Amino acid sequence: MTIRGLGGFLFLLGHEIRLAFRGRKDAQRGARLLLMGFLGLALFGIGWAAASGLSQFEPSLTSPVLLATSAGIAFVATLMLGHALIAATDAVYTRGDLDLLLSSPFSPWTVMTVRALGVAVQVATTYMVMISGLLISLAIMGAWKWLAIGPALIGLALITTGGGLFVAMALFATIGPRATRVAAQVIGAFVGASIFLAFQSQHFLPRAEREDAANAFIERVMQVQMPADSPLFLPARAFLGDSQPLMIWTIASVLFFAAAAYLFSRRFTADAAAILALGPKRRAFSARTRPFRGGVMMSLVRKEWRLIARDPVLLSQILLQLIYMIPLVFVLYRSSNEGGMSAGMYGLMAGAIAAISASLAGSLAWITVSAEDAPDLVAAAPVERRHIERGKLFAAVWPVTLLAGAAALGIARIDPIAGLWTIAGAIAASISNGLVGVWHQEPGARKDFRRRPRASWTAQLGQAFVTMSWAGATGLAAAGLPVLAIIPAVIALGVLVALGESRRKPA
Amino acid sequence: MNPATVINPVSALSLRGLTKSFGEKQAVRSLDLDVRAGELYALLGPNGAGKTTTLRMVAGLLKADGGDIGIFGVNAIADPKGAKRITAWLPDEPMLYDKLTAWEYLEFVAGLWGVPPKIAKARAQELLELLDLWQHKDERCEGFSRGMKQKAALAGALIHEPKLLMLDEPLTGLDAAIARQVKDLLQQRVRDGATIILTTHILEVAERMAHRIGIITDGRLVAEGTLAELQARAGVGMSLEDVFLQLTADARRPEPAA
Repeated sequence: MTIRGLGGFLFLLGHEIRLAFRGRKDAQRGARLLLMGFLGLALFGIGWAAASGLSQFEPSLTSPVLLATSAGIAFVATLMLGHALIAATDAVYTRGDLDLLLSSPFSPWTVMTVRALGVAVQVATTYMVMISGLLISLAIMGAWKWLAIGPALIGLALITTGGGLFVAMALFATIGPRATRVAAQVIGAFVGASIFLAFQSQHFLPRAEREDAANAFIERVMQVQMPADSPLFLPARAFLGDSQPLMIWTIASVLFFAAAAYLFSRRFTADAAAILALGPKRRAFSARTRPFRGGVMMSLVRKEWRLIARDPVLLSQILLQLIYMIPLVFVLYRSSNEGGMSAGMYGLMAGAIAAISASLAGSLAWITVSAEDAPDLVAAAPVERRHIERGKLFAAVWPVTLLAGAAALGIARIDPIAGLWTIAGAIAASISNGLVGVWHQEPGARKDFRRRPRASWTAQLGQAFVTMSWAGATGLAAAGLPVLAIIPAVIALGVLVALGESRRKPA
Repeated sequence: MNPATVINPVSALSLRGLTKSFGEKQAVRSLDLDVRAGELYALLGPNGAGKTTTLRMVAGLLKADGGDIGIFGVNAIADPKGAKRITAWLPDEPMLYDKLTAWEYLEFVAGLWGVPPKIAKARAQELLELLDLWQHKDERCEGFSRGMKQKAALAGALIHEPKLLMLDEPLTGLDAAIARQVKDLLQQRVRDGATIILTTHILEVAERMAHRIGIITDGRLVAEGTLAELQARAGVGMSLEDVFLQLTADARRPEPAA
């Protein structure tokens, strides 16, 4: 096997990376370029502002600075680890090309090593793109020492990817191939959100205790007497451009990743066979037959709910969106104990519930409408398209309404009017987002659930706009400003009408 | 049904001037075709000839650019719902839901076509038994072989007892035993009065099963008739394969300049 050229290691790596970042290149290319240009400008603007501050002074290697830097690195590391774990399981389970690759002249070891490397490149590139504006700005300003952030971040990506591979292997060994996929998705999402959740957990405490706890934490941090040359500060020193730690950090990260990739490729060569042979669970035959239930609408709704409920990977991915509802539960729990919230807090809570409901409904509508497994069957049925769409929208929105209703009930216990606005806003936002999906999402496969935003930029932008508008309207109404809420509500309806007018027509 | 929409009530399927283009490519060119009630009609043609596009338009999955489609007298363009009620479409790739069991799949399809639950249940049991799927009724379709999937999809297509059944390559990829089961079931349906149109690349299937054969090339019907009629047209003693190759080659040959 050669390293370069056809059939070489780099050829296979190029193929991996191309697949990892491949999006749609079709009719929406203009919108995509526009969005990328906008994002590029935004990244550069933010990077320039940050670089202007950083370039004013040399990185200081004192204990408090190193401690703060370490906290930042830990935060990014949890995000990267979550990303790496999900990408690692995706690369093994969902790509569906292992049969082809393992039957090629490549050694199984090479295939799995390249796959591990592909995950590392995917993780590193994602975060390097995020700080690209900062690095370019620092280079323009001549603040060379700060540019160490780049290689140090790549080192962090290698270490977290190695960690992700180890976790995937441990899961595979302990709970088997069937459960690993779901467990890895859940763990990945929770690890990614762990720091966010840890920060929010303080909301469980009453206000006075919370302030005490925060002060005590700051005091303890200030008292840390760890010497600046402690090995625990090595990553922070590397990020701050200290040349020797940077070199050690880089070498250590490469070695750690190499060890993880080596073990991953050796173990998964055997494990891959188990994954490929993974068949569905068989159910025993029973001569009894359950009676049929009729009705076009209910047949559709039952079918959609059954398909979602029986796909644990999909279900976990949907439910993980609820992670960000957990802090709201904290706040509600505390406020009900303290006997109320400020008007602004009601607004914030109601807006957040509307936004999360909209996002959840958008995801479910994508599954019921765009990821229809048998579109020809449904289209060939003697049922009008709008009735089919209505049934699918109902299947997507109804579970969300129940969840949002439970959250709104929590608010209503404290303030019934704010609770009513919350549920009304959540329903409006869910239906609107679902409709945008029905009108503008491109057909896709269920396994591509996480890639769905790349499928249609119109749907993505439309849903983002509608969600923000309804969240704003709900928040303002719940905060006691219903007249002001009319403005974002009218904007949301206007966008919805425009998107409805430009909906895709059948072939 | 609106009487004004009735066209040619004698034919099971009547196409008049049916046209469909995809961008520059004309997939179906002013196609006229009649299929009689109660016959099994085989539509043959090379890849990309327009067979599937034609059937997809009849099934209401594609909008025709022009022309008329009559199904047992119902104008499928003016009254698509009425037409769909009496037709079934089975594509070459079975349309199934991996996470549903065979029983649940049939329940869903029956619900879509509005078959009363009691009748649907009895038909589902009969079809599953007939197709040797009864033992697998509580298994999810994701575990089915290609042949089992095709049979489950066929059961779904038959659950509302369509008067016109359209099948696209129904025997591709099936083993001999399953292919025989499917062929037997289709012939039984025809004996019971149903009309079947199928496309196939397996000429032996058309030769043995079809009452009449239509050959389509470049979106046009270039020949039609019984096997004997087609053989007579192409030359005595020729097999259907020879006839097919000769007729499609003739149709593709550019006309000599005047």
